[in-house]
Amino acid sequence: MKGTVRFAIWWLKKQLLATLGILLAYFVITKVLFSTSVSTSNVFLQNFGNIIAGAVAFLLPWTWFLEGKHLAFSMGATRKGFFLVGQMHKLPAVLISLMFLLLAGQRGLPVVSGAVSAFAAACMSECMGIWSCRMGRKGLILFTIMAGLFGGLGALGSMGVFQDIGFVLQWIQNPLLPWGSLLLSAVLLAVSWQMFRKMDV
Amino acid sequence: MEKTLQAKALTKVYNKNKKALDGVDVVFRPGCIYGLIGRNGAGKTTLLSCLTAQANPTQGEITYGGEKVWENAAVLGEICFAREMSPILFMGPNTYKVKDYLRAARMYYPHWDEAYAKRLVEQFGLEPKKRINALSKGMLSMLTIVLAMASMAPITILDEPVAGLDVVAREQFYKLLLEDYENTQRTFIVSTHILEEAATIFEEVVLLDKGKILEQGNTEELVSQFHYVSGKKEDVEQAVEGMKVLSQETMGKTKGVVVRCGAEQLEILQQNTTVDISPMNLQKVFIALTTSNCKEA
Repeated sequence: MKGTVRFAIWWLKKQLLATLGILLAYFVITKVLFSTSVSTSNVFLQNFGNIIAGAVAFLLPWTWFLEGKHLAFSMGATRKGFFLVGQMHKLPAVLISLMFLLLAGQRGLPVVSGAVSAFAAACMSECMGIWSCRMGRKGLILFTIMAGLFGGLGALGSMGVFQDIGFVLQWIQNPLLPWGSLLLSAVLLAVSWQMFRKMDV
Repeated sequence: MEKTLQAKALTKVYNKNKKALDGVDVVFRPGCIYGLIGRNGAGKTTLLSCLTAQANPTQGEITYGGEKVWENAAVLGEICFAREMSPILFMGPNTYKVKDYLRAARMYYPHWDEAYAKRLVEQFGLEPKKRINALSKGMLSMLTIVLAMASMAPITILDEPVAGLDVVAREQFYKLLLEDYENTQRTFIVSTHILEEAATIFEEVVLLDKGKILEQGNTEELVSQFHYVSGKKEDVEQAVEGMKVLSQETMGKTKGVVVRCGAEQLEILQQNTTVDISPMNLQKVFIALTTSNCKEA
């Protein structure tokens, strides 16, 4: 466990740096390059940039999870230690979601619910990652599709892009959402842990 | 008390019906170089993965010094399994740099020797800033060797360490292995297909075939039981009567057979001047055992 914690902290530093880079790119693209005029196409580009940035931020923990898993197990990590510490790597995804929500002018409950749903989406993707490991190439393709889907959805939902569409703002502001997201996260974590527990490398 | 790595009645089934290991019982004593040999698909890597808790056995128990290996961080820190790296993205540490890979190893292995690792990296000409997926097959092998050696783990396992290495690098590896063994007296388990070169390194050998242990024991003692008997067909058949014949080949009027016999039987055999008796090496014994349709002559 000690080795896993040290390894995770070191890797998290790298991830946070990458997240910072993504945020910087986001600001450059959306706030500097497209700040002179507001048009429909610019709004679309901003949102598109958000989706890409969000999806990349969500992908980072998966990279850690899949590649780190092989490395850590081959070096003697226990499954329990790796799984627990692995959850730490959702932090960049949650941080980036919070950032988008705050930038979108959201406060209070939507911010919390957005962060929780981002965590749930990341957990779901982890589950997909675990399945993909057991399913070989087909699983990897499925994983990529699901990662993109959940990453994209998580990014969209968390940064308030749906506000432009109109109806998701209502969804985000539903007071039951944080609890629902928490429940979903708990279920997904339990399922993925059960799968992870008996996994071969 | 000397700590042994032990597997009892180990069975591993893949995809509900593919038995990769079938009731394997094996003990690895401390201070010994073991050779784990077997044909492709014999179950070598599965056995090593189970021994190091990287694969979950379907049945059976694995212990080190009496303690279970599964989910036991303290025990797992004492065992290093330097396995072949997969070139598939996400199926191994492909995007890690060499230095990051070794840095991770430093965090995991309690006995890690950083100075030794640096010396080996230099000796093998590995570039620390290069990503693993950019390394050649030979360089990948060298990296796994660096990991195994510098881990200083009491049980060090190498899976196909010389795959992809040229003959000079292979010689360097064998020399390094023996030097290290002389200094540390730790246990090495080496899985390899290049038996001709490695045979002299192994003190003990474990021969795996179709998921079962076919033979295990002292290499010299095992090899000394096998002989190649050749001569006229009738003379050979008469000479090996009552002995265990593992393989035979007939070329016209001459015949050659591989027999397994004890000291007494060998003495009788040597008294027969009509046939030639030659000793065998581990590779030939391995071929005879794994391709044999054993029968009593």
